[in-house]
Amino acid sequence: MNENWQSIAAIAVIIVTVALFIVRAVKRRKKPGCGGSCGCGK
Amino acid sequence: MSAAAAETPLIAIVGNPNSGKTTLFNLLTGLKQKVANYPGVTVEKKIGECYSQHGKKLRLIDLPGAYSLNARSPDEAVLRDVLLGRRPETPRPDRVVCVVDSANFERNLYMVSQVLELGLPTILVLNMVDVAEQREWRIDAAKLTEILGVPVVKTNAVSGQGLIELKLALSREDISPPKWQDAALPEGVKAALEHSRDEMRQAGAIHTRSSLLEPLYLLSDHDPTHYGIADTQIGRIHELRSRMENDFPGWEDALVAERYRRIEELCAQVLKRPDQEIETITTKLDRILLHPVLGFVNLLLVLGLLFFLIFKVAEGPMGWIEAGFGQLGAWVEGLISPGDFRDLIVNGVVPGVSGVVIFLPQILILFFFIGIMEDTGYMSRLAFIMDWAMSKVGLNGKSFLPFLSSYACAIPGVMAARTIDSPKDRLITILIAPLASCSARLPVYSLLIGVLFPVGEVGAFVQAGIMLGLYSLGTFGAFFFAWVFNKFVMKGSASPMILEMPSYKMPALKSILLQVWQRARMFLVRAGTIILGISILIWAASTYPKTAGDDSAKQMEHSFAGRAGKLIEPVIAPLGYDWKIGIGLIGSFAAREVFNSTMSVVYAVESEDDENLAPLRDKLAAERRPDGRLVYTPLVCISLLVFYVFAMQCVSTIAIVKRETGSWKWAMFQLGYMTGTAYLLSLLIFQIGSALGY
Repeated sequence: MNENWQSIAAIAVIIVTVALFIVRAVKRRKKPGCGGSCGCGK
Repeated sequence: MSAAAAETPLIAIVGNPNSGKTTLFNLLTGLKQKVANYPGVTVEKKIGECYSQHGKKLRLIDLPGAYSLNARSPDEAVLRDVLLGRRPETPRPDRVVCVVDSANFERNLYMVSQVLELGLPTILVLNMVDVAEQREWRIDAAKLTEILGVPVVKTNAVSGQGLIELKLALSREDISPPKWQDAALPEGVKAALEHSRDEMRQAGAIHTRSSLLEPLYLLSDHDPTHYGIADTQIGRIHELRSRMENDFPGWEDALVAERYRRIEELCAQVLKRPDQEIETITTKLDRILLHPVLGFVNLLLVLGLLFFLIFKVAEGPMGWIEAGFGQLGAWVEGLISPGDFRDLIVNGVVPGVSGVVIFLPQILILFFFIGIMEDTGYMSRLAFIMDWAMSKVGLNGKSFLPFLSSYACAIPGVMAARTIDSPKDRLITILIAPLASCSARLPVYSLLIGVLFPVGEVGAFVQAGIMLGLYSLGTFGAFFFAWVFNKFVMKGSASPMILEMPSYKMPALKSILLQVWQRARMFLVRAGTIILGISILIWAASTYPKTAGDDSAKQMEHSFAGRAGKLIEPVIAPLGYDWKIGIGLIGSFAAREVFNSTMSVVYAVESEDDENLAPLRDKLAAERRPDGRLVYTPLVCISLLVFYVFAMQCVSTIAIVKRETGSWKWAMFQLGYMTGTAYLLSLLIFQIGSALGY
């Protein structure tokens, strides 16, 4: 992978990370509850 | 809930604390478990699957241990609400397995009788029969079945005795509702409860088809959370409770007395015990382990062993993890040509993730040790011995171990606070736990003490003395804040510790290992994902925007992190810090030990090895301000050390506190009070010291 592609890949990872943090925060606010993975179906 | 799940019978496992119900649950379900919290409370919800003797899938739910359905804590309220079908996310169980500690048969029957009155098909499990037999207690299971109308199974969860019989009972679909169904209510009370039920139905506080038991438990509970009931309805419930108390003074006590009378009658028919209590191994051991002097000496030995395991035995696996991640970084370095992506992996992701995973051995050891102490029955003795000391600051003995664990790492300490029943004590313990100087502070302390007093200039004992002073300062701070929170922030009735001293027994290793595995998985998945994200963001902040050339110090100054350091300089200047220290402070909000590696980058010091702090220490000691004055004067070093003692600088801990308290509110409160105290004390030290000419 050359340097340009590496820069693009690194920025993509950062954007995905920020997006995931935002989605996580918004999802929790919209849907108060267990936050998933408890098997309650919420 | 899926359609398949809806068809699978849900069986609730209930019982008093220390009755062995979780061990039974673990034996029945093995690894087929899901652990989460009930919505709205930080009470663990454990659901698992097993198969009946006829191959039919069953869903089991391990409900929190309780002594009564008259809830006094969120745990007991969850039990009551699930059994009454009041929690929308958890269906009402189809059957109940009521686990009884046979050696405490009579007392355990209190909740059994309440559960039987709910009318759900119930299986009664007489667990720990071996301990009862040691006492020469004989429980007539057949007679019990005849009187209560429920299947009775004798088990020993540690050895697995009776497990097949229990599975056979679970396979039965013909279990009829128990015979013991009528709550012994005097006519007047019954009429008043019926009236209250109608009023609560109209107010929408309870379901239109609710039984009389629902108003009974709502009017007689002491549950601080009141899940699912609006504030206005709670007001109405309080009114109804007052009215009941006025019309029938002492009605609750009368009901309790009546219940005990019926239990006594039952015991007279089914329980045979010797006239004189047999001296068991528990009584003999307690003579030593609860002795005012010998008990304390033994406690010190046990804790010494725990710390030895945490600091020394964990050292090896921690080194392997560190080396493994180091090799992973080196492998990626060899695999990918130089560039941003490689830098992100090698200097962002790998150190960030390894910084969390490295604590795994300590966490595994701690929880294994806690599991052994809980399962053998020693934990209650430990809490009992330490209660006098913790009560001085308004906490109780159960807060001791979580606080002590925090000297290794606040994360397992905060997680260990789950063993505290009182929500108030648990919260205060969580809030003060990170003030115990954890192992991550050690590299920072070592570096700054080295700058303050280089080896050779003073004896090693002076350095050790300062280190001890910093640990003592954190401990004193923790006790001080526990007292403040108790007195001023979380007012409310003191929570006296009511402890049950369970019989000593052999630990159930399989069950303990399962619990350790669950804790480890939770730690890695939750804290690990957040840490991974934050590591990526910190790397981005110190990498962008870019400068031309390879000068890492220049890059740091130019980066967002560097700019942030300069931005906060006016705020930290009164503490004696410059912008470079500011970058270190920002970086160490991810994890304290990041201060050393950040400083290495800022001052372009090659060695970032914690073991070899000399090059960085010398560089810091020689660093000067633009006007030629030294940056790291003794006053600045002390101010910085005090800042690190008190400041909340660990995202993993913040994430765990958020999870354990169920909201950002307390995590942010902790961040605010700790960092505010750190700032204020460092400010006072620097300003007063400067005014005095130091």
